[in-house]
Amino acid sequence: MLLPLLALLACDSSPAPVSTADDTAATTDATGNGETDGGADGTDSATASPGDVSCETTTSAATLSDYACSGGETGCADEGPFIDGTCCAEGSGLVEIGEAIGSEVVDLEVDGGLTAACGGFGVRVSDVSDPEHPAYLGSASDRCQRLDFGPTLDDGTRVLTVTHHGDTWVLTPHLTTLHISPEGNLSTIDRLEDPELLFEGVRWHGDRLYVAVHDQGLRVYRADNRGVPTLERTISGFTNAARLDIDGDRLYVTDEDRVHVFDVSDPGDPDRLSEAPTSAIPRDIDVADGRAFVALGSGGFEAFDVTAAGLENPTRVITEGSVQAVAAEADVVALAAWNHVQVRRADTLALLTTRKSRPYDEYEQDFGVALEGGDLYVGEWEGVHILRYREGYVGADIWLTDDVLNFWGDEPWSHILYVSNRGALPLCVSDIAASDPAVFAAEPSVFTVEPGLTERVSLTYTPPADGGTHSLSLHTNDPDAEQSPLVLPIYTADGGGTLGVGDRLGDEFAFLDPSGARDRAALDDHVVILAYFALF
Amino acid sequence: MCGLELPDLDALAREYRDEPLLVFAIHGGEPAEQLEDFVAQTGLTLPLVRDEGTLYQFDYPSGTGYPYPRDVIVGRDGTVRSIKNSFNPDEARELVESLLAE
Repeated sequence: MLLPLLALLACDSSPAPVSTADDTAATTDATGNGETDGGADGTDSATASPGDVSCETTTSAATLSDYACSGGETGCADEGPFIDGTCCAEGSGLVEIGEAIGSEVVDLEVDGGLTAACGGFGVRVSDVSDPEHPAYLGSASDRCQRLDFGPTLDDGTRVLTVTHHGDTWVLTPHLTTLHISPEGNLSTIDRLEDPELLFEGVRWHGDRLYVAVHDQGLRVYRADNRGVPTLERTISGFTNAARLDIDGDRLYVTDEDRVHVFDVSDPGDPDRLSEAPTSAIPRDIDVADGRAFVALGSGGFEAFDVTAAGLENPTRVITEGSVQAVAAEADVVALAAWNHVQVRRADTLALLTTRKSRPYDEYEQDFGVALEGGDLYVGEWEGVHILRYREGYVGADIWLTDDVLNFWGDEPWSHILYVSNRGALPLCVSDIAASDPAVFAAEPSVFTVEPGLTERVSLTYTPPADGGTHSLSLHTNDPDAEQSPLVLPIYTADGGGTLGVGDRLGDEFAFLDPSGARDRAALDDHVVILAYFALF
Repeated sequence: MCGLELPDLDALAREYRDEPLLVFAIHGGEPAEQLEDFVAQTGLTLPLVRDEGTLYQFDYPSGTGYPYPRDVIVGRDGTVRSIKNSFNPDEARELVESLLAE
């Protein structure tokens, strides 16, 4: 633990704050809370980089030493970043503990020590009974978009159901039943294909399988003793049914503009109870402990009270990123928000912590999230990150308005970069270093951002003679290892200028010569299509 | 170009395989095993080429943040005729036909 050192690293608040961070709650209650070891895994990720120690050391209002340790003393109990008097320590609230196999992950589930991730290259299953050491079990070739674990058969085989609604790659939508043997072998048992059925979300409930089928509504299947489904009934009354979740005897189904609630105490005969509009198109839904959480993409997310038969008291939160998936467990709710994952209190929805699993320029894309025993399983394009939520850990949390700087490279340029702090402790920016100081200047380059506030940094660019690629490195006390230094890539065209319609391709395109001779002239007298692509 | 759209472009390339049309699928350094999986899954016939720093030389829509997709169509005279951030097969086919006729 580095707490004694960290306590000395409060920064000077040089520039005046310009605005509050646009998110709710997260930092509004960073007052008085605990101070010693939180008793978690001891992986305190804060380090004392050279950048840290260059900060001014004047006292700030909300250093960790101002916090009490636990409820019953001062401040910690049931406030903002603390739940029910947890002890507090400075550090990252989410630390990566493992990584499971996945490709182009768009959805994932965790159950019974297994995780399954759907994506462009099929479903991939890993044993995560030890989440710090996931063991890859295998894959099935069915490209899929949604999935759910089904029952465990008498011989220990797990049933896994995956769906795909069809696209360029999967011409015919499918609902596929897989078996995962006790030895971890995957096999496809059944595959229902129908060009008219756009299979979307899927949920098991006993021996029933509920499937949202877009314009065909909700389908109820009964499974045989191998988990193979047979259609039992179809329920209409939706505008493109998409995602669903089950909590107890309640089934929740989203469509384009609302959530429908069914009583499934008779699993084969869902009884429609109520419905409620959502503030934007739902992307995902998860229900736990009397609360329904609905991901709304760039519209943030919405929480409903479902302790009664309906969906009541909607509370909407607009947040950074685009909320693609949601998972709730116990006191917290996790959101996969395209470019990061965040954890919030389930009751007040206050932000507890965030995490970017990859540096800014890697363009992580978080599409799926599941919670299991306090661990977050985050589905990204290149894999499944397993993050451990460490209750009570707090720190600074840097957030930039720009993921990348991109502009004309042969003209002087100025830009305001907004640096926000979504954490509970002051953010100390101890240096903003340009890869070439003659090209880029940042003012100010040393400052403090109090929790919930945003600072403006003026960037100026002077065109270099030879163009090139540059970067800015922001050294801070953000405890996430990937965030300090935070490297912000800067892309400019080289000295030749950018290419627009009407410009001629230059010799730098000689690498496309099909003969391999790198002769740009090989492209002449041809119509040429350059398709710059990424695998998603 | 989103990877999921490449088969449409592949079909276009095969449709005009006897014409003076060159189509390149250009990536920024995707892992080799993912590219192999991708080709195996899709049966893609387009040449996959690693970019050598040309992507950012093209006009870039301000504020879009993400560099992909980017589709550039060049005429037989070597000049850029179209830069798009989405691939419309019908639109592309129409432009290719007109450029081949020049």
